[in-house]
Amino acid sequence: MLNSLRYIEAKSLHECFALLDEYDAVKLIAGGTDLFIEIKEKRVLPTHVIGIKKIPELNGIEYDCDYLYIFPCTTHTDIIESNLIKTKAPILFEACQTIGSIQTRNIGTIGGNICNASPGADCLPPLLALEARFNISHGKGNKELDVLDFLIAPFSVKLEKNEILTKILIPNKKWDGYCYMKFGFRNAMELAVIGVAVLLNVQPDSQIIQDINIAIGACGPIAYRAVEAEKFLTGKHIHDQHIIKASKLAMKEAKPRLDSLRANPWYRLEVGEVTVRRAIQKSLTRAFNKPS
Amino acid sequence: MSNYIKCWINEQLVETLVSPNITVAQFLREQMGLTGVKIGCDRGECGACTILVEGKAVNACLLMAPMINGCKIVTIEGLSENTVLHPLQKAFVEHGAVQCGYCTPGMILSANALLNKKANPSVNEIKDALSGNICRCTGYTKIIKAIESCIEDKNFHERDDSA
Repeated sequence: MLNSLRYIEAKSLHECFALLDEYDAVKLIAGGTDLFIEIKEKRVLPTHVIGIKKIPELNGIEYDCDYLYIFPCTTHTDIIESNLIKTKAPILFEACQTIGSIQTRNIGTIGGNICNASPGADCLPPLLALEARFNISHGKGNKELDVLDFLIAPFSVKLEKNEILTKILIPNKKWDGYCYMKFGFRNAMELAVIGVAVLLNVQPDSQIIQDINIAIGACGPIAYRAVEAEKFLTGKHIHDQHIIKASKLAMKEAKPRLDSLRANPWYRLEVGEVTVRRAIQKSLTRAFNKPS
Repeated sequence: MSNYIKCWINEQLVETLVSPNITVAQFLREQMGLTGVKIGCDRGECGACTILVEGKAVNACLLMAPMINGCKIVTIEGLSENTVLHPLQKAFVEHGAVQCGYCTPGMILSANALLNKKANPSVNEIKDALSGNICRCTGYTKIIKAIESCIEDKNFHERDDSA
């Protein structure tokens, strides 16, 4: 690591903004499961690292009648163990369990997963499907962005040097069925070859899909909504041939990386289609098994 | 430039200066002499450096040394009481779950974290709990059997070694 690296533990947001203004080559660190490796392996070279994990305003999960609020330094383990998440956003509960290992989930945070913006980040497709918004603050004011406005490119997000992601807002919308399905070569400690998030509402009597959001990660520089597939399925009867066609439409919008070490583009599109189909089917099963 | 930290390591209060340029794994091994903390991949993928922080299994190689300020840490050395082995350590030895021994401290601490949280885990829950710990020698079967043997061990559940 850099011999001149300095670590400062910020006790409040106010202190954090002051430190961001004071130093030039500065990085914020919460869990550090991505960032710390970048620093150790000298791909990122800050002179100052500000620890934000203990800032009270950046931790916790709350809700009101409009939104579920997740604060960015909440660890993946906290999300998995939260009853609020299990009842109000179970797709996030499912996604966070697929991240890394128990050890990395105990320190890694949802804010870190978002702001690191790996193309395969497992929190991003569920947040995109949930129509989440991000609250970003620079000490003198706030702004809110939706997920696709926030993500610019692989490992690049719309955060200025003195800005912090301070809150994740998930609208309080009812969903009958959900699924986050990740395909990878290992069962744990694995980066996604594809990550598919599906949320849907069904009309049980007529067996019609009223509403469906499909978000896909690891199949392009940033996560995307499979808009054509969504439009195709909305208002359709639940039928295998419709689901198969939707899964093909979903992969038409994919832009798999040409030089990926993990999966060739053709392979990613093949398993992607299967994963989308299975994720839709699992969401439908859950929608019909949902206790009334 | 150093950071002052105050923490509890294996129930001993430690107040010292640490460099932010080292990991918690390096601090525990080199400054505290706790060489039971093994460094494998040094990037949070193999679990050899697993320690308990506030009772939770974490990779010591992924933490900057100043980050443990205020924390309770347990390393493998903290499980045995002088020369008396912890039931998990004894079980690993008796079941042949140790070959080169390099993954063993991390495996035992991950298992300890699980058994402190859930007294009667299923085999799948044991496997999940160990999914961040890699072993290149044993093929895992005897490791899982050793942990299962502790589930029925009354002596295990009467101890209180959660951090």
